[in-house]
Amino acid sequence: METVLKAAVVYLIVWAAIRISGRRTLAEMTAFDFVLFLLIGGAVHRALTGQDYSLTNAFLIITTLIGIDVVLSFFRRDWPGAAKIIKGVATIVVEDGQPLPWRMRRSRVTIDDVLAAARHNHGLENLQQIKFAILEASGDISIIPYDRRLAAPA
Amino acid sequence: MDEKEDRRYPVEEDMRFQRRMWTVERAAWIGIGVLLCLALTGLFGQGRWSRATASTPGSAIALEYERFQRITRLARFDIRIAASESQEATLRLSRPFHQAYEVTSIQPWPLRSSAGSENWELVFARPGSGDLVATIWAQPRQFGIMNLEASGDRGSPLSFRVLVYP
Repeated sequence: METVLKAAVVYLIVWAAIRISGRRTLAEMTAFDFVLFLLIGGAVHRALTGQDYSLTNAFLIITTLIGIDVVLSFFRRDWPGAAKIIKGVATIVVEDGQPLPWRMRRSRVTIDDVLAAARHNHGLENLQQIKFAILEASGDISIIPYDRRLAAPA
Repeated sequence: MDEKEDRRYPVEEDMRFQRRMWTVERAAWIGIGVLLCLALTGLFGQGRWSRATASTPGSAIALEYERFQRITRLARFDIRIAASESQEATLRLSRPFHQAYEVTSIQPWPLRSSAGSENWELVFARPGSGDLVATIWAQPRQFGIMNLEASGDRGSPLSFRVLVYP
């Protein structure tokens, strides 16, 4: 029972940590962030396994984590309110080529971030070519160009 | 159109929820800052706030320990038993100590030890002069608040409380 409870608590803590760190933290995965996530994984691993290195313990941890994930996916599917809390919501940060500064500041998105996404996904050069830039719940920035025929495929 | 208002295209927005989430996010950042400051003071062990001392009236037995401990993390208990005429010094630790901790090391090693239903008794050889100072290294095996007791050959028992984090 202890293993299942521990795994559930760890799932909750990791979810809350990722959620409160903000979407941009997730999207801006630098080499350092990658190492940081490895360190977090290592710290969590010791707390989860303790001194029990048995296959049974590993099996229970894996099934608990996957089980919670599956249950939450049902919540997300059936209750839009829960989906918002679990995943977050999309936010438009550029509209008709104009940045929305209050939203960008609150979301910690810069014009450089938007332009980088526009260059990377569509080969766009400036803000005026962007009809909408949307900060997705995942932290990615989606770009909808003015004239899609001019934009290179992603 | 005001930035704070919902857009319906190209995505269905919920700016009320989003604003609330941003507020929660910022409150949580402050919470993390406060938590880190508290951790530096020793609220989660190993710090000024965590170090504690206790002694019986007359200092027949005195103890230095960590008020805040963590499960499975080695905790140190420094025990001082006042000098007496006897060649041996007895330290009795209450049953909850024996149940909640796995003792990994005792310095100096006791001459003998025994565990009963009430106490765990350790008998040490006294030093040539002065007080006996013994150190017990032990790992908590349970979490929660532990009400523990230590007593020597004479005087009243020393009660102390430890919080073990999960």
